[in-house]
Amino acid sequence: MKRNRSVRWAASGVAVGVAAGSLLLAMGAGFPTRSAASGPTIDLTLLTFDTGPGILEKPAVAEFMKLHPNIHVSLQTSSSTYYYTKLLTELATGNGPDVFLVGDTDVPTFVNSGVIENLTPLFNHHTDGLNASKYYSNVLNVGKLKGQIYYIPKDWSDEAVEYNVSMFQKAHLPLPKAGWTWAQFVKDAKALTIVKNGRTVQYGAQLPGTWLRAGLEQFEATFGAKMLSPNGKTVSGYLNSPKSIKAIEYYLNMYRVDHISPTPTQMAGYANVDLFETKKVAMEPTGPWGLSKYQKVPGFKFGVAPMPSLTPTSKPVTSIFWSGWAVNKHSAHLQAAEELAAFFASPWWENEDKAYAMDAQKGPWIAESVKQLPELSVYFKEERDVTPLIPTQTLNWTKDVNPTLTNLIEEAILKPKSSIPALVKAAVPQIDELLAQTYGG
Amino acid sequence: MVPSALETSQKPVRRRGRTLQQQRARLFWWMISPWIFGFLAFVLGPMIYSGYLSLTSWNLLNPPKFIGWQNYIQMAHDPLFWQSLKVTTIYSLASVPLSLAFALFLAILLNQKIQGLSIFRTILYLPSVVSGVAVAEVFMWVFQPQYGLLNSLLAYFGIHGPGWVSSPGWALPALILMSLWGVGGPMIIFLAGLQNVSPDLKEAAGLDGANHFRTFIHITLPMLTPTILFNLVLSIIGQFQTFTQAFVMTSGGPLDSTLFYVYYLFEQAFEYLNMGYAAAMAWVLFFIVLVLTLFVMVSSSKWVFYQGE
Amino acid sequence: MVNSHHARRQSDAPAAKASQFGVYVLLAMFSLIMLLPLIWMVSSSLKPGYDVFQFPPQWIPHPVEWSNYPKAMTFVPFARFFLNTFTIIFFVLIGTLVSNVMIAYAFARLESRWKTPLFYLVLATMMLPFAVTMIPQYAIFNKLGWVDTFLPLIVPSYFGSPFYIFLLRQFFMGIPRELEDAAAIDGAGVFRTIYRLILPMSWPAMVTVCIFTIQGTWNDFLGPLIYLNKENLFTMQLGLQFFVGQYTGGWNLLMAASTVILTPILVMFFFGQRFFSKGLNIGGLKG
Repeated sequence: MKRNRSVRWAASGVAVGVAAGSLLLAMGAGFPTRSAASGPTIDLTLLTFDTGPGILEKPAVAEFMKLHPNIHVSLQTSSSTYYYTKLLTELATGNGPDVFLVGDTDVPTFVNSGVIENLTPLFNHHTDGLNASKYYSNVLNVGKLKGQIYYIPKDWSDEAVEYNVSMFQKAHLPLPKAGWTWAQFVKDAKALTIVKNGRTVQYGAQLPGTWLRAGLEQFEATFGAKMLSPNGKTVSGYLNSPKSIKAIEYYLNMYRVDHISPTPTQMAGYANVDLFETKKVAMEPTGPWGLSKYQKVPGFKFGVAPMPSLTPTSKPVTSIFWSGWAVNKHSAHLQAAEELAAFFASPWWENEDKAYAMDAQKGPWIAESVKQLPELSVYFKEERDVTPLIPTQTLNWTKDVNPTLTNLIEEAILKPKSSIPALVKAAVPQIDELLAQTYGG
Repeated sequence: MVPSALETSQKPVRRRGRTLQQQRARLFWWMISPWIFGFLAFVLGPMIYSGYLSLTSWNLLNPPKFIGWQNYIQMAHDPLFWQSLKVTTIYSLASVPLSLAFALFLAILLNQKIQGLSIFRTILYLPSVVSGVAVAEVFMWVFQPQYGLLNSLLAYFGIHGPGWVSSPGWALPALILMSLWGVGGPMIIFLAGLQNVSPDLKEAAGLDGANHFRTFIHITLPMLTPTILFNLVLSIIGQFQTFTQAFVMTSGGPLDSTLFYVYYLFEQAFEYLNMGYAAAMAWVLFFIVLVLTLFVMVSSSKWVFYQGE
Repeated sequence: MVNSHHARRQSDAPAAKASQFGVYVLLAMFSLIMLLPLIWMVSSSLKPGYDVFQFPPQWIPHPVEWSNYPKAMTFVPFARFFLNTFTIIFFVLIGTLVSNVMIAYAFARLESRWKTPLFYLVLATMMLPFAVTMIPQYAIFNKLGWVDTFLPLIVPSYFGSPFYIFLLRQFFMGIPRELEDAAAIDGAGVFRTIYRLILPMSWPAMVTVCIFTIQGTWNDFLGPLIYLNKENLFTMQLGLQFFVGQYTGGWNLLMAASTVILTPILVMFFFGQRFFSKGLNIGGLKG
């Protein structure tokens, strides 16, 4: 019995020892521990998405720390897929980053819940070059709610039509140019769609499918329609207005009648393939994100034209894609956090950012960017009619409006015989019920 | 430290009188104590808290507001809730038995004494190791309607393949098919279970003139039942929580045909900022899975055979 | 026994050969099916960026872009991420083995009135989706000051995991009790019994636990994503996400990185699975 017990002792001792030992090791040597803030150093965290291993922000943070030796900034990065999972988990547990990036659709969420700082005073008093007049007003306005500025825009883009020059030449079509119409776009696209043995081997265009911002929202604006009441509480009388239905029909019939684009579900089958790059589509209305990539494809001749307009005399309409910096209201070092956010409006940052994106401020760097990539110039046409962002006009667009409209588009395209007015009529009460829940509760 | 606890016991006389059974009962508590500690420290709190959250409205940014049973009532009227429950149930009903049967079949093949076994084992296990984005990307290519691997293969046999993930009717079957690709896990567990089947017994059966099939049914299968139980319970729990496929491949579409329960729950929590509702959904799922698991566990006394019992 | 085995083999040799051939054909077929998507992955990893998605798909990359691999390996600090992943795996593995063997043995062999309900409780902890327990769990680790260290990823493994508890319990319950009783009469204590009898006899199960632990930790994404902030603490899986961003490498590099990441697991499994058969030999001692 004694021996028995001592063996047990030994075994358990070893087990516990190993466990404790490894934990100690874990907290010590190879395992970095949290370095307690020492002395006057201010610790800040910055959370950002989609920049690879912090390609953009890493040098910026280093530069900022050089300018402010008493501030230490920890940079957190996450892929955009899981960005909000991480951000919301941190915010929900009171461990939120001091400064974080927010995408356009989510602008109202953080403002209305009161977790971010109103930056209007900063814009009014900041002397380090933070100046509202330096921004394109449409770009600054995305982050503005109820007359107050809550975000410092990081970068933005509008839309233009990118086209494959070789395909146009092969079809003996004149290249698209400013002042063209959607009717021309559809006509060209039809001529550029090639079907062989019942299989479409080349599409005239790649339309944005269920991506509302670039698709439905853009067409609503083109037709001068509105989907949403000005107070954001209902779509009834707006989404189903004659103008709106006309816009939706125009957009969806490019799929249903003209067959000029792969359908959204077909696109799902192509996963993340860039069909324009792989020369399967002749035109794509989109932002400038692919341009530098296309430049590197040997022998790829492409051009960029402004968005078509509805009639030869009307102005073209384009949507905006945007992200901006917010300052956490509960930051322990509010002033330093604002300082950090404002750094992303400095000339230093503009110069850095231009290699990757369209910075939100007007400046000499635009000319430089265009010199490197002439096709970009179309995207920078200054006084273009960027439509106000519809999703920011209601409390919870992602939950209340987006899913129903996505299904509407999918269904209308999967069932080309379905009646679009009927689908819209069915969607209106569904959306309104969800909106009522949001506004009622 | 059981031994020391016993030694310093207040009543040494009684201790000496303690039966072996009592000692083993004590030992039981001592040995599972790490789990109990971990449960109390890291698991119980979050579980209770999520139960509380299910009775609140919480956008993750402002403090939760208590709203009683409203989330549960709302769920009953939410067509997407029912759709997600339907999708997940169909998926589980198909993929639990199919993937277990396939895994068992592969494990039996891999348990033969043949050359090159390690290579076959590695190859068949490999797919379950590839993770995340790469899997999604590769499989979109398998299922691509026009040029994809699967439809090219079918076309070779003169069959015009369906749209798979691009079609509301075929997206879920496509994901069920895809789940068979990742059976490496249960396969390995079956393989380990087969290793425990005593070769002597099989040998004896062979001498009795039983053929392979009868040996399998009467000797191998009964001895494999503990492993089958494990894989069954785990795959019920796992498949009902299917999430990644919808998250990285289909986003629940087309037309909500792959709106998995936990995917919808996740959307509610982190995209719609409806954590209270998500928590309520989680607890409904919890009870569904719990009932199913209990049913399997209780019934197991009728069909699971433990050599040690 | 050896003789009789030998005799039987000889008597129905043709039938055995035929069935062995059948096994080969089936294995080869399934292996091919399982491998095709992986071959596609490797093939994509060797294509130039603009060529990954050609129609119809090209199986043989042309030109073969070997430079994708060094590019992928230098795009992120791969060595650092590998070391981090390995460190986490090492400690998780110790914790998993020590704690689960002990707990599972208790559930398999010892008696208590509360055993069955407790076991169901163990299982029940697996049934709540992570999405709703993640935030309160994060809050706990945040309170402990463990965020941005490996501890939230390691420490829980020292307190048992329902998956392994259940798995090992199933295997332990399959070990004939008489053997253990004999050991007990020999005067062996519980831990001696586990060490000398239970572990050797459930060798395949232990190998399985190791394989699963390594693979699970290797592939874990959400845990590291939420708990690790500093880039020098990142794991391989977190590193992979860098390849999908807006400004980054492209799918060919992602595929190259995924292939590289796959290799150590592959090697580990290839050697690890041999122990399945070794277990059989040790198990054979019981006869």
